[in-house]
Amino acid sequence: MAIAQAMCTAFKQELLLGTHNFATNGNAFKLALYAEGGGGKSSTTATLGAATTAYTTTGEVANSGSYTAGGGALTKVAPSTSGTTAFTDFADISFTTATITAMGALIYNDTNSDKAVCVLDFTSNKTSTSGTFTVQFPTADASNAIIRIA
Amino acid sequence: MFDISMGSVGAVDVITSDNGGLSNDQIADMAANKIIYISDEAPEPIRLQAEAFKDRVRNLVQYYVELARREERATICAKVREAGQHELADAIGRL
Repeated sequence: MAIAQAMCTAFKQELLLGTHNFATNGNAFKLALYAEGGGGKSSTTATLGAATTAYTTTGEVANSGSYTAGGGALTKVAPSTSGTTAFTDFADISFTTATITAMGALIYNDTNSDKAVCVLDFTSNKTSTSGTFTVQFPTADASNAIIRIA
Repeated sequence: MFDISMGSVGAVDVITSDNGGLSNDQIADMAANKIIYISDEAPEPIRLQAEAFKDRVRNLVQYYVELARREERATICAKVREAGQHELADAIGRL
């Protein structure tokens, strides 16, 4: 599969190295959208998964509406804990007046050399035509939050 | 030795629209999904009760989203009319 949902392996190592700071006044994180089947910029196809180490333009969707190369800035929610699980969350992100077909996304650290955090697989192509493309993050709890460490 | 079961990535939802913004229904669904999460593993009586409550929350949110949009259009209409753009104000009022 060209886009496989995963927490990037390099990210796990970088957590132990203190590379990423998810505090509300910490690093800036972004979300970029990707296409499969040659649907990306210049007919490129994304290959994203656990081995992804950083943001790439290969397979990224083309600029449209409020979507520009590199994607959109994420609004962080301060990390929290529940039981023995730590988790963090982001506010939902929308791209407006956009014609986009995307199969997945990459969250990356815009402050620290665009280092990859995790890959999101939408499981099927999602399309907006001159409309809004919204990514809604799951409930921020120990069972569902977007990034969890148990 | 500590054996730490490392991280997991949650599942996102993607909501899209064509030729305009998201509808009241879509926004109400998004809000209800954020407010109430019902586990697939919840016992059936609890799950059914939670789903009924979620449906009520969703309908309430939808009503207020619709009201907010209507009131904002009314304010925009009034401002546009004040600026002498009566035809544009009428067009916005018909949305």
